Amino acid sequence: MRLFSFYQKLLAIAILCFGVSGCIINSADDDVSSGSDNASFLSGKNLFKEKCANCHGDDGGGGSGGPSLIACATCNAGSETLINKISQSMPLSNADDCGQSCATDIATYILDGFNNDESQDLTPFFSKAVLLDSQQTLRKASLNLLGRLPTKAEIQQVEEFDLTGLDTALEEMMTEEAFFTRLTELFNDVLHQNKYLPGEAAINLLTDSEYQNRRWYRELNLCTSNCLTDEEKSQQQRFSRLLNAANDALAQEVYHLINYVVRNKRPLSEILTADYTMVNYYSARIYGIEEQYDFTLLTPTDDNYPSDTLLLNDGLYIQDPKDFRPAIVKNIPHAGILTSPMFLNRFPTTETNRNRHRSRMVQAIFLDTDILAISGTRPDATAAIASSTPTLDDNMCTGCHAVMDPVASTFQNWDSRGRYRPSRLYNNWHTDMLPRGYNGKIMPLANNVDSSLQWLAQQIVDDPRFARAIVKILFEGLSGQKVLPESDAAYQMQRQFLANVERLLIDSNMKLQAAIKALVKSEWWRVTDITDSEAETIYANFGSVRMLTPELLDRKIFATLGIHWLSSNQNRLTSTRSNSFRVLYGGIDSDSITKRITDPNGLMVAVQKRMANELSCRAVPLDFFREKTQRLLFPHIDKDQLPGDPALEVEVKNNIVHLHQRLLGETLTSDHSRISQSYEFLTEINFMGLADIAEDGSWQNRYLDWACGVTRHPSTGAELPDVERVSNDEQYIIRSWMALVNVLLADPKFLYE
Amino acid sequence: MKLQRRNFLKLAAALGASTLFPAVPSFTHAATTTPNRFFVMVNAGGGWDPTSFCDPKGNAPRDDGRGPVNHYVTDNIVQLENSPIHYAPFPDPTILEEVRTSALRTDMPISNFTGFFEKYASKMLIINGIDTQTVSHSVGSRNTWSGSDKEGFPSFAALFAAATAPGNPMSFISNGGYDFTDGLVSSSRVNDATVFQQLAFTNRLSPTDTSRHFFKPSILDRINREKLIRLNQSITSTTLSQRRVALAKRLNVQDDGLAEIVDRLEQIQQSLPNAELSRGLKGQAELAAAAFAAGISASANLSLGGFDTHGNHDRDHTNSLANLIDGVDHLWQMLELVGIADKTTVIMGSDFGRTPYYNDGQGKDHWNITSMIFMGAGISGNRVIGGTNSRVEALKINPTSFEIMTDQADEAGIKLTPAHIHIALRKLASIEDSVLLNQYGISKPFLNLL
Repeated sequence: MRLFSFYQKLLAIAILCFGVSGCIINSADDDVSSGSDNASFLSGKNLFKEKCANCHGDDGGGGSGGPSLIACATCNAGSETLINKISQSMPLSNADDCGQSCATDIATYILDGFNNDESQDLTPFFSKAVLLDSQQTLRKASLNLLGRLPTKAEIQQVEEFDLTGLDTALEEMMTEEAFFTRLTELFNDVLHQNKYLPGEAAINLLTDSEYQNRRWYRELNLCTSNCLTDEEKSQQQRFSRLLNAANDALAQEVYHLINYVVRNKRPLSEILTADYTMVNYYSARIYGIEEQYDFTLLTPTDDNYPSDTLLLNDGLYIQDPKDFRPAIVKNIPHAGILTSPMFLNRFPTTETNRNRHRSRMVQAIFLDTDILAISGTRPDATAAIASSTPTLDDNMCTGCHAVMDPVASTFQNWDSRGRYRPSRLYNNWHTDMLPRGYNGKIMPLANNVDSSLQWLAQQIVDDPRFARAIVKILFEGLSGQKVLPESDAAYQMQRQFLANVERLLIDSNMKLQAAIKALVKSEWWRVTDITDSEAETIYANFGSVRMLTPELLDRKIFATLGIHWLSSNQNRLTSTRSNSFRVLYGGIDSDSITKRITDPNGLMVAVQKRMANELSCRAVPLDFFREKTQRLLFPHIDKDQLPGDPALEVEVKNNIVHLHQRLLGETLTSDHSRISQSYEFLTEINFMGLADIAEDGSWQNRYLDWACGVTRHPSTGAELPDVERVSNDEQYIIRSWMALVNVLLADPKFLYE
Repeated sequence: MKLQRRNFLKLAAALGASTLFPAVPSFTHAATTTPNRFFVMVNAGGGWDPTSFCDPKGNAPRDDGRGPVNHYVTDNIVQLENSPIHYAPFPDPTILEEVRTSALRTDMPISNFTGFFEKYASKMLIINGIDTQTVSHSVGSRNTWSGSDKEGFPSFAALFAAATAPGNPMSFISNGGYDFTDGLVSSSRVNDATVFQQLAFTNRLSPTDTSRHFFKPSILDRINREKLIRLNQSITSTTLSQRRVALAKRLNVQDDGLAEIVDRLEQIQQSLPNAELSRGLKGQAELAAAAFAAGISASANLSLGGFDTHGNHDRDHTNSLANLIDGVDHLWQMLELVGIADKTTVIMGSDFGRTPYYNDGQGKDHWNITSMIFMGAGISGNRVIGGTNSRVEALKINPTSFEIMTDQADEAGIKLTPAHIHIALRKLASIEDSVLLNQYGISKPFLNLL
């Protein structure tokens, strides 16, 4: 099929679909005459509907129970691979159900019906879309991935080399520490390990029988409660330092594993197949293996180098908590994330659940497969009563359990508390469960019997669905959007796009950086506007505009204003205190609240108002306090220069241009209507304020409130002489700029990215 | 340059009044409404067991040899006087001492089912024998609360809020359970009611200090007007992608009324022991009542976990049920306190039911037959519709009289599903003609169940 005509057709169908319920793009029936063996095609079509459509969808577009077969990795590996895959392992519930002939016909139908396009170049589809240019994409990526604005060098690089320069800049960005913080966030949205950060939550999951020294810091006899004397208080601080370093490392060991793999550009498959875990000095002591490694010590230039000389005298406190090493815990057959006690406890099981929950979650997270959608309905209440082992022999149950239970069985060496308990030795597994296996394959016992999760991990990473699952995690985390449902008219186009990214990931030998670069640079990601209003329905769900999460908003605030939004020294947006706005603003607590809110409601709008008020009040005077060359917000104007003075119009407008660029990412000239709009607003506010002061000349009206003004040195806290203070505002200049910054902080371009 | 008052006037004259005070188009926020009707969904998360509650069976042997359905004695099942309502005995002297003592709560005003059913029977309709057609949590939860097992259906609570109060600041409050909105409204969640003080008075430097403000009212008005102008420029743009416009529109939601909720929470707080707002299900109930009374919300999901009792069913499930009825009782008290009980409908339900037999761990696994309870506004009380047989299989009902069919093989009979319930619920809520429903149609006949 010719590429251009294909996209013309796709575009036309996409438009038509908005008026036609149930319309399917790229209908398989349209492609019958594409030169394939018609008899095989028709036979394959019937077999597909009978055996495959339940999970993969009638149109091959995939369902929550099975991946899309459009541009899937196996589909692109050639017909032989696809035939083998089908004949050897499909359907999952009964791999013997479809032999060679059946598999050949179904493969013909899948390849001719759903994959009859030579190229996955999606560019023509975006002909009516306006895309972010490379500089705008750089800013968006920089804020999203690192929470900072692009550096001058990066901007220059992109100016010079456009998308190639962007590629280089992205590659460099993904080596920064901030990127790994973001990566942890992305994976925490699905793994929720941060539940175990508070107190000793992670350490409590381990048992004394396994790890006698798990609470080693308690044996130092430091004061932990009712600490009154200076020495006791010091001890309490030391205790907290050790406890936090140990518990945090343990709670996030799977994220440290992911970061280690990505940082060292190892194949991402290692997050499941790693025969090691990650420890720092403090968590190594929990596991009792700290002697095996020579951990790095902090140096005086490190942020967390102890200021207390008492601590310096004890090597215990100058171990670098950020120095993580791959380590093998005694007698544990590690399988990356799968064997972490924290992972096993976050997705727990019970005696009667028999690891089915773990199986379901592993398949949902790492294979993008929702088992519950495979055979989720029971037609009649009498089902399952006839047999005492219905999951083994009742057809109403086996469709789902044949997929779920073999994987559940591979967890049999790990008990409900996440302890390694080889079933061969402890005789603690069930006889009425399907044997350990995956995708229709039974696990060979030789060499695997006590390490079946290692075998499972290898099966998962060898499955094309693993790449699909990883790309989905990245896409949803970075864009804040859910992958489109099959019912959406743009579903197949998005599937093509994601399949392209999956292929790039696989071709890069599973380097995560390759997938992120592909996502960020893609047309899908960069759609921002449209060229004509008729096209708006086509691109309804395109583009990566999103409401910023509390974490992203916090970082953007710091990146643009140079301060965090604090109250009583607690971060308003990210603190775990119950009265912070973290959960209310759509964030998660990784415990009971694990889904983010992505659309603002009235409460969130009120949060935005308070944020704009508090931050403009603090950031504007603080910036005027800085040397002009050091200012982030006001490099072109001073606090005693009247905005409405016609003689200063150029400087004032230049500064407004700067604010629009810094806060909103808009590159505008000083005669642009949006700059004029801001200029007029600024001057109007100034005159309103002046008029008010003219009527009410009280000192409260002439000075900034003490909460906004700068009367003490921001770094030292020392009281400032009058001349250095930023508090007198008799000309209402500072408050006028506060009003403009306030308005810009509430602009959709600041709140969304 | 310093500008004195007289210079200001000169400068104003020089620049011209239109430059100083440009005409501002009169844009408005999305309209808010004052809801006059409220719905609360109380979700028993994990799949409750109606046979331990409102569809009791007891320990009579089953005809297929499995079972019993329950451990308590069948003869101890209670029927309310002059009422079709039956319920499981709780506390029951015949069940294990350990179960009884662990489930009994002396700190609850209503610590047994009798107290609950006697108090609320007159406003209560129980529907038993609802076939959720699934044993999957996600599918069951979606089916129970949206009326469809298909992905993409919004919960009834979200649908009602979108149809009746889409522009209100917290039109739909969610505390968990099935709260999918399909983008019709945004769900709100609050984990600490003290934040309202800060959000209600965003122009106060300190929420409790009425004397210090970021801006004077006239300046603040101008700032807010400017924000609105810019927001509407985004919304009315013809060259922004639909997604950007849609997201900008969502910012155009009101945050008025938050001061009112502060007052309402204060009212509730003063009525409580120790004058402290509650936590858990009771806290969720207090917030919902306050938000309804403040006119900023139309519907709420309340949610309590602990019902997925695959092990130690009797002990754990009874404990969860005790917490559930205690929370619902508290909800009604709060609704009465703020004066909107007569406008509120409360619906209790769950993902599905639990097996009519115990597993090896004395737990009960998933079962597709469940019950729902409807209480309050618009509900004719003291009624039970539908039922189950001794194996807890759904029984067909007569589609007109709603009596259980004598001949279960009669094809005229209907087995109730969540779809039937939701068609009736949409009618009860007077949203059956809303254009919003066009894309969420349910193809079942209307039965005037409620």
